[in-house]
Amino acid sequence: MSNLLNAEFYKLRKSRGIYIGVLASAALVLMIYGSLVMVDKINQGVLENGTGGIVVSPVASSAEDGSAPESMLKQVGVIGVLQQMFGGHFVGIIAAILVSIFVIREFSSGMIKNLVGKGYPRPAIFLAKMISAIVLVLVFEVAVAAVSILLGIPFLRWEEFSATPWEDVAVYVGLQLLFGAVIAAIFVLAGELTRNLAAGISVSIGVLLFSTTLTAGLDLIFHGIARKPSEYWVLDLVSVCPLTDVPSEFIQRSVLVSAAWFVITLALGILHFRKADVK
Amino acid sequence: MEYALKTDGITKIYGKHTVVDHVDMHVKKGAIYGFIGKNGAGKTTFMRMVAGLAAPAAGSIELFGSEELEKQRQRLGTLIEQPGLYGGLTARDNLEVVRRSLGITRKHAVDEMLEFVGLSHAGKKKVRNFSMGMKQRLGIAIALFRNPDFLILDEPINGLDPEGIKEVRDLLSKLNKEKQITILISSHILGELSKIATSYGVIKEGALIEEFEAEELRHRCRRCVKFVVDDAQRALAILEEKCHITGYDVPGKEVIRVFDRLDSSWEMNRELIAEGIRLKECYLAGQDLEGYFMDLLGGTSDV
Repeated sequence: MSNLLNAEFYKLRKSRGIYIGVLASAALVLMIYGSLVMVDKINQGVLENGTGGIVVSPVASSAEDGSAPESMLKQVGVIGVLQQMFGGHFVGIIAAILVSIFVIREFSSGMIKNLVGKGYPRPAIFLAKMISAIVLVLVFEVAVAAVSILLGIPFLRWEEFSATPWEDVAVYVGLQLLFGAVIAAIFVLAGELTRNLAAGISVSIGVLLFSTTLTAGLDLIFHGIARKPSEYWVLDLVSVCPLTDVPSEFIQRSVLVSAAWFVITLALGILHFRKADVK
Repeated sequence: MEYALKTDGITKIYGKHTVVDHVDMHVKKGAIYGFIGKNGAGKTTFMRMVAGLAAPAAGSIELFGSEELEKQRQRLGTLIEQPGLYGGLTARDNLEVVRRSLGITRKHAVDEMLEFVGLSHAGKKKVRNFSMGMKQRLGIAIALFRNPDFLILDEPINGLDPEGIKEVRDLLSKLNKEKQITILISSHILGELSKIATSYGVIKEGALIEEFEAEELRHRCRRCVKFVVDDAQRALAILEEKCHITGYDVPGKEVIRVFDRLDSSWEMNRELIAEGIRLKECYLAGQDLEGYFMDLLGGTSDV
């Protein structure tokens, strides 16, 4: 197992996908900060409303007393940008693409047959692939979080930046990393089941974007019971994760739900991979 | 008899189509086993089952006399269909991945292997820019890592130029002779196969129709005078008595093949006619390996 992980991490180090993913994310973070700056400029009357396609609706409080509205950039802050990145699924979509490429090319280019043909137990091969995909996503998410935080310095200025609630940021990012690990495992399972790059990416992004709609439907169907099904689906937890003052019940539930879905995903993946033919 | 591979009724079914049909193969330890069959005959599927890439629908596999296949497969080196390679990595990096995954601690193993398969000059080149032949060599290098006892090679000389074919042939002979590595090899290039194989298996429509030694093949393919007559037994008695032949066989009721005194066929011909035998055909016969297998498989050149 350690040999397999050693080889997987070597491949990860040689892969350029993660750097491209972080660059794309950095570009989006810049756009978010840039958009917030433009909103402030429009509110201050420095820029005309609609500049760069950004249309700002009048804020009620400022309309009443005639004063300038509070800076949108300050209101959103670093933690708000992090929420945009993680809760808005951008990070998830890039992660789906990265994991799908990383997993599915093993099947399509056939490298996995070198391992199976050498007598490695299939569960060990699948587990090594899953662990390395999780590490890939975690490294990527940490990089995205770091970029989101660091780019806050030039935009927010040091005074506002240093006023960021860092404990809340740490809890939020920590929970998102936990969810990210489980979501990566789900993407690995999708890749193992489909073994086709286009299908794998489509299924992964489909799960990412539309599974919460299904759980919302389930919530309606099971409205009579005390707990909602969506409370136990990891992608719902990504969306509803509080930014500040995260209740300990939510943290505990997040850990348990993530652990449960990781075990389910791993078991399904191993079960399928044990029987599947390798091309 | 010690076998590197022994299968018993191994079968693979895709949907309603039986791709490999109750194959009983016997690959002796130390042999180079030429596996021959037309495209789609089931060679690759059979090899994939032995390598653990596909699960048989029925039957059993023994590797080195054991059914603990996961353990025994650690002694295998395989190159089945296209070699499994990362196009975006260099040849050295591809081998480095394999070295690490197999837990080989000697870092020089990669360079040694590159040199062994003649790719040391291309170690830093990305594999996606390799020719087919170079990819095949790299695939062989991967198969050879961790000193396997048994190599399973599916069309390993595909895409190689004549020089490359000779190099691979010499390499396989060397591995077999010096390291006693057993080799199961399929190839369309039967002439090349015949230069190294010590035994053969012929598969047709999923069924293994024959297994024989190279010596037996040479015997079957040797030159002879073939007589087609009305009564083979009476004709044979005449040839024995009058022409003193000793090397012959009678593959059919009307067919005699005489393997000695080939330069005296005119005399045999004369004696048979003089004794009233109806001689329908008489000709000098003899086949190369390719012709023999074409006859055996009853087909055209896509062997």
